[in-house]
Amino acid sequence: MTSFRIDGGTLIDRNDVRRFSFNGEALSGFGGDTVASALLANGRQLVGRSFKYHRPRGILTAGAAEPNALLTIGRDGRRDPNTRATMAELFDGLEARSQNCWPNVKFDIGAANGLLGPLLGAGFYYKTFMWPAAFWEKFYEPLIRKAAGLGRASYDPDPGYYEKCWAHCDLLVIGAGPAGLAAALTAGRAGARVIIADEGAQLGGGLLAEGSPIGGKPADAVLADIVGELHALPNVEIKKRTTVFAAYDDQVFAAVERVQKHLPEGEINPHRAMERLWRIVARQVVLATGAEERPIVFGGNDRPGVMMAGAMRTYLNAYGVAPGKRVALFANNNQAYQTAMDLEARGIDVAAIIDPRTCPNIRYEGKARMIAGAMVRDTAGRKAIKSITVRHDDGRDEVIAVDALGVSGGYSPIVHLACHRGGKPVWSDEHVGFMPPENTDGMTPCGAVAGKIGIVDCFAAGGAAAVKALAELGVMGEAATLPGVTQGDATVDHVQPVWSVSSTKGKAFVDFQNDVAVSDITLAMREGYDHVELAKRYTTNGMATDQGKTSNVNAIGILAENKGASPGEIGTTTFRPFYTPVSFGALVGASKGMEFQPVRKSPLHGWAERNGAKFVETGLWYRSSWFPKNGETFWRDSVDREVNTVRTKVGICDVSTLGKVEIFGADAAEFLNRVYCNAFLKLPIGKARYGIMLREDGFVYDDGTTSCLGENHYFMTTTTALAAGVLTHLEFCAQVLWPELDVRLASATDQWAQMAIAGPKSRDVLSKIIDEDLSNEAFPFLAAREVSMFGGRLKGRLFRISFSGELAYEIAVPAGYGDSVADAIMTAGEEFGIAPYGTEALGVMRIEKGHVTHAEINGTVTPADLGMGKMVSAKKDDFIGRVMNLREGLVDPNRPSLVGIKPKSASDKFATGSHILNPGDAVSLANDQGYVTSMCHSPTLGHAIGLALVKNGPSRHGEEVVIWNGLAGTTVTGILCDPAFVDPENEKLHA
Amino acid sequence: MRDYPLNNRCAFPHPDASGAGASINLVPVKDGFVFHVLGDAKTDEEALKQAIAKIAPELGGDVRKASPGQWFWVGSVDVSDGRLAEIQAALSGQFALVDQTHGRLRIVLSGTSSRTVLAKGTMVDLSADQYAIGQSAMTQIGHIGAMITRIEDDSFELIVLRSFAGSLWDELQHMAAEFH
Repeated sequence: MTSFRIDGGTLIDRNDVRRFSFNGEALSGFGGDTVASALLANGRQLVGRSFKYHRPRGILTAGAAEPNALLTIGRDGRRDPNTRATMAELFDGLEARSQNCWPNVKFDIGAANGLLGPLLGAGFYYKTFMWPAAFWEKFYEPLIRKAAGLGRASYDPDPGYYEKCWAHCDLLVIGAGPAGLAAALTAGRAGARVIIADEGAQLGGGLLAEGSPIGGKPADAVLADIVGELHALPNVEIKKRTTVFAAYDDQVFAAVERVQKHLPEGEINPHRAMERLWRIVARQVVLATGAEERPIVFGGNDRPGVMMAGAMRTYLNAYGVAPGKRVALFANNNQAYQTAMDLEARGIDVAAIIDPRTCPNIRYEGKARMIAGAMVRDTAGRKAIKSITVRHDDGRDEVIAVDALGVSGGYSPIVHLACHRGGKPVWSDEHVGFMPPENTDGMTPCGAVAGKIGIVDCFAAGGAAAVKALAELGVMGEAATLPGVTQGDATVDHVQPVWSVSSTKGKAFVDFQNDVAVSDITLAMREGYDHVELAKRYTTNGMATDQGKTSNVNAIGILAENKGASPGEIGTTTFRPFYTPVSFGALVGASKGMEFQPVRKSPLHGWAERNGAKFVETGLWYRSSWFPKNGETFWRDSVDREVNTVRTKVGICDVSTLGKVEIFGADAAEFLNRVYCNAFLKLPIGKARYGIMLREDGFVYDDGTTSCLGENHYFMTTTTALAAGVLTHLEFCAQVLWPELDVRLASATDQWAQMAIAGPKSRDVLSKIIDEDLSNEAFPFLAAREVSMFGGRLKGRLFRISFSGELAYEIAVPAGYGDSVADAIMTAGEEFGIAPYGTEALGVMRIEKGHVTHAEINGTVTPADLGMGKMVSAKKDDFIGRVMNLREGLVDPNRPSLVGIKPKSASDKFATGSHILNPGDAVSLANDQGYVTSMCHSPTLGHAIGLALVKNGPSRHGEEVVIWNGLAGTTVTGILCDPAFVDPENEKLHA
Repeated sequence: MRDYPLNNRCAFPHPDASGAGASINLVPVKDGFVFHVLGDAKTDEEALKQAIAKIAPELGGDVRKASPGQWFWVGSVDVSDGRLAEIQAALSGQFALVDQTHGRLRIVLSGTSSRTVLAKGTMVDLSADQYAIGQSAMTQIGHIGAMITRIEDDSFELIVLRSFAGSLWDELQHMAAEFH
């Protein structure tokens, strides 16, 4: 160990030596270290380079707000860029690298940007990359893209498992510092269901950095007692390493738990989440998020070695790390003096305490020289601070040699979560900071976030906040008694606002992460961007991973100072989730790869797999699209064979994915009569009917068959795509439009395995397994009823309907038996040459037959457009879409209407989506006559065929047209024709 | 073909293997019935329970609220087609009954980690003092719709659409893996 590692350190375990590498260099630290504390212990003050000017940067904080020390940690798929060294726990074998530097962090070519500093001020992009226009794509954009960003994401997949969880509690305590711990203990003792979450690896917050006894007891012992009791309470759930990063409506809070991010590769359980995203539903919340210590803006305030005074204290007391050997402090408040005392107690030379206040009201008995009424105006040193220049109140400058400078410009309450739901923070002159909004419904801020100072005051505030929150829940609680808590006056500090040091010489940074200097903010003001939201966007102050945690209030103060206003009048920018960065892994959770979305499988999926199906995703469903056989390698080979088999023999197709709705009720027939545009009132029992549903606007919504299975019992099928939509539509009609009708609806899609058996031999096949007479007389076209199968061992529903245009049936059986029944049909059909066919062959045959699907029912067509105008009832009083379907534009005979289309030359092909033009017209959409909605190769006819919507199409059969593929730039001569290419007289259906 | 063997296949990938672990156990329910009962505007759960007690007391089972005026009547005995038709006829008018035994499958998740596992999928608060034994909720496990019923202290029965059963099984396996 180096001399920077000193005695003490309540968080580290010196028996647990952990080796790690930093920019390839082997270093070591201890268990309990963060990467930042380990680097500091190894004397590494320079850890990265700044974004714009590539300035050397060190470690500024000891917590979540860190703007500088962003490292890339890990390798390959486990590589995490922009990781805050101050939050990353050290583990054995950790690999960390600096970012935004080349060839290395010590010698960075990009630092030349610093020389261009005067040219790279706020608004530089907007002013520079304007001209010449031709440079934009070829030069400027690639240049900007190359320069943008800090770390680089890995292209390798993350092997870690991530997940999302819900949690519920009476009281959520956010933050486990003194206030949060007291609140959790109070509520836990009262029996409430408590979740206490803290972003740190250990509970304690400010207690972890406390070097002084509390109520006569060492701080770490006080903490151990509290944590021990919380652990023992079964109603208290402790979530360490858990950042509550967002507050949403209805008391839902989002948090990310770093479950295994702190473990070496060998200790990671692949079945446990690396990170867990929590949605916590809390009846009440105690917000104990603490306060962020503010930097002061002065020349060279970004030099490695300049650190927040409170962070110095944390490294000293919690990690046993000395920030330097000769340290100065620059602070405008009393709390920073505690750092001086702790440093001195560890034998570290405190060179000076520079306090801008002329008469600081502080009892300081240490050895350090106090310089009141003074400011640090500049620092010196190349890659680490060597000295500071102090401007005394008499105008005299003094250079003091130091190797570390602690800075404290006051405290900014961490109000983010109190503001995510729209509340605006309120400026307090007393606290010199923005306080939580006054109305934080369901959330009680307490402790440092509410302006309290010191551990004992925060203990008291936490207990009181929990009592208040419990009272809202009707639970009586008593504030937990904790060491040092008395009824005396609250501690008061006297912070003197110092936003920036006016006598500064060098570049004085407001926002370290974005390299925003005071000069940038004043420039933005001069150029008219003086509103806080505009100034943010013009200068980038407060953007990127730290979202201005250390810079926003100073920027507001500088704006206020320059406008002669108070910070309260300037106001803050809008607080939005996330409080700190959240990995994509946590946001995605388990929904990646094959688990990206659920898969719906037909009850015949296994059967299809055994028969060699190739599947296609249609929505969530996996449907069998074709079944290659006998060495078929091209999909068309299989599809053509399947079509030919059905047309000449028999085929079986899985149609289980069609939506199925059971409809009951005394008014079910009337209900159907109103939702379909064609008549359903008199559909007899045992019969199916094709129905068309219109939308209110008169266009076709969906189609399908509905069968009457019994008195007041109907069975509707919908298209696969609109199964859920149609049921929702029907429920809306039943519940909202016609509540007086007795109609009840149940989705039965998953109950049935449904198969289409199509082809001239379909009756022969089914007759072998169905116990009933299937002759045309006994079971004619559109018959539909329950049938006995396999000698009475199974009941099914048989429908004589046909999508292919062949003699065909659909048989539905209880889903569990689907597999066996499909096998039985294959066996029964073997002697007839049966073949399974998929959705591709199904599609080909329906085009050959001129049947429409959603390729035609595309939201712009009426029944008349599809050649089904006569189906629209003129007798019914009303049905959905009736009135609007009569609109002038919807009955115009020139509307694009359904027509068949084929190439004039059988060897020509054309594509779906092609437009139809009249011969001789210029190739232009201005001459558009319509478009091809579906096309396929027809194995039955031996050439391409299609369906199209063409102006006045039905009266143009036989007309020659041009089929224009605008994308490919090709034209083909086509002929419009009857859409029923096969069996236009429907003889097969009635065979 | 009359004698062709007919098997009632379970849609869960491993119907006979329980996803067993020290604190979590995952077992598909293979037997029994799931009836979807649709009441008319005037009925309520009490009326349904009375009707069941009168018409089919031998079936037992639970009545679980699926939506306003709709329930799942779930039981562990097998019901023949004939008996089902009798019950449908006896209930008709006031209640319509749809057999969903094949369309809505059951799986039981039990063990001391069952709540932790389910919390990875559902936003329903399943804690013992909030979610009584016998209580049901129509909710989602991840992106998959499911009904969750607490059937014992640390035991929950999920009802899922058959087509999602495979995906739900996979998701539950992932969710429970850390406890195996």
